[in-house]
Amino acid sequence: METELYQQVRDLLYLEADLLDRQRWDEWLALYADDCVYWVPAWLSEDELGDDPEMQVNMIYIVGKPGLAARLHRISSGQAYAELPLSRTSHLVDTVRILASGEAAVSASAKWLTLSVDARMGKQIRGGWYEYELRREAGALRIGRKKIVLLEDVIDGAVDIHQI
Amino acid sequence: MITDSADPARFRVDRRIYTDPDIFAHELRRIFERTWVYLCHESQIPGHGDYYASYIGAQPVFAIRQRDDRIGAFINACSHRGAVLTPRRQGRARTLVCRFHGWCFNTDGDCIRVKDEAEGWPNGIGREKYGLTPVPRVANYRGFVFACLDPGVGGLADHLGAARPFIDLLSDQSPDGLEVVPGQQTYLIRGNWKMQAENGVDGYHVSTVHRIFGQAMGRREALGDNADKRPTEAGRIKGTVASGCYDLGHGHNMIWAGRANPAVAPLFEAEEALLQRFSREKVDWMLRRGRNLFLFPNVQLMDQSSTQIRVFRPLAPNRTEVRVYCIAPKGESRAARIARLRKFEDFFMVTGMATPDDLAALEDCQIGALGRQARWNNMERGLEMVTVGADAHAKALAAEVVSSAARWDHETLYHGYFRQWAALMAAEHTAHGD
Repeated sequence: METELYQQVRDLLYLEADLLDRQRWDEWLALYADDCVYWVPAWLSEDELGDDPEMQVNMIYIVGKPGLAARLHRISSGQAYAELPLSRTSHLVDTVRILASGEAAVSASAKWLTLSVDARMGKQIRGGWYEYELRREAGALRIGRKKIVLLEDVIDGAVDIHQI
Repeated sequence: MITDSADPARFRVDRRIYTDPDIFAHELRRIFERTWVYLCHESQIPGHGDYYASYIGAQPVFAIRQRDDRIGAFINACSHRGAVLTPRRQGRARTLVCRFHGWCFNTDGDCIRVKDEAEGWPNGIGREKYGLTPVPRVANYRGFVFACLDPGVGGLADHLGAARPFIDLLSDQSPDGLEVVPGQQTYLIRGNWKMQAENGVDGYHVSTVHRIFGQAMGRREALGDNADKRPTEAGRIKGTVASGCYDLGHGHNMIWAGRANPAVAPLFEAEEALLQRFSREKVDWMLRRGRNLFLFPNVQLMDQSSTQIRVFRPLAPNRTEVRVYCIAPKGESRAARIARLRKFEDFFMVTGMATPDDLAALEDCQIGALGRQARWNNMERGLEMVTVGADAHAKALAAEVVSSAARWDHETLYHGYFRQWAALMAAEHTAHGD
């Protein structure tokens, strides 16, 4: 029996993935709160994931929407050497779980796999876990914090935000 | 392979050196197994038994902190049947236990236990004959640990030569030394190791390949970025600051560019303390000139808005593994460390906004090099304007450089690197274990 909240969370995660695949960047960015945190920790060792984003090297650590907007600008500009042509992607998001829910916020997790296809790298599959802090704002949910665990610690090629 | 002549001024390189499997096999033996190769920073193996596993060319090795604080290195293979002895890239093992048959070794490489020795070798196996094979030469320059498989190689300090004062510009940033910050990234590129070596000190590509990085950063700042970011130094991307490059001899080289706004550099907080210890000229080098230093054949030390060790390993003619670490002065403020790390992630990571573009460009060169009908790379930019020996900036550090150029986008810095490559490739292979 799925609760209304579960459906709402799942729909948001699916929508977010679909907007990335369709390269509808502005709509994707609008899902995030202005003071959002977007975090992809680096692996400290083969089995230890970074846990202090301020004081450790991260794969990506963006605080606030301008940082996300800058990345979108780069990949959609047609001027970034690695992103022309831009890879085609398909995200699969599943195993959505609600970890906690309160008046103001909801914590959720999910698993993801992304197939990326491009001329340079061919077909690549990357995957991992998502952890979300979602905020209740005017009856809707917005993304306050997203942590993306990328399982690879040796990365074949480059990775950008539409591929994870 | 290399046309190198003064009259008429000419320096060109056969693209086959990036693609030919025979040349690649020779490089592993004649270059990587015969010269000093960078292994790790001493801060990564601080205590007895701390090890760091790596490769010298194709040969697996590990560096380990021994008793009395010495650093040794061994071929990473059990003396019995050859299994690798280190379960992780980095770890601690005062006794190295082979996980295959349980033989044990101490940090000096001595075999200290053979499982069921009395049963299998009633007269004793003679454990003293089964120590690990040491890497014959290991040396540390200002915290940076190098090793060489050829016992007859000259000293490390001589090998580093004119690069030493530029390494000192990093090592001297804190009286407590440097430390590798937790978190690393390893990535695989579809390019020859020399493509990586050349890209890291290529000033000429910055204003084309990284223009979009400058634009994206400008956009972030214009949108009112509220994170712990310091303004991007766009001057070097646009090419509006003073710059230069050096051929440092022995294959080493360096580019530098002035910092339009040195106050954003994480080290700037230490200016007064540095002036107590070093000359104004040296402190200006540390604070006011961003530098990319390549140490032949496998490591780059970057000191820009962030600081990086980039170490690479040849896998195949068109495959290279690259590992990057952020290195920072011990004891810097939290704010400086945060600024250093965020700049590192923006530019130096393969998940960032600049390195992917570097890789795409060099990978395109790798593809282009397959076009055998078009044979030569032109590396002549700046050849008619180069200064033989040290310019005033290098003289301030007493760096006895081979040549100096007054712009970082000249290509004369590569000439010594290719000459070193050609000299090592042409020399007879010395007989060590062949």
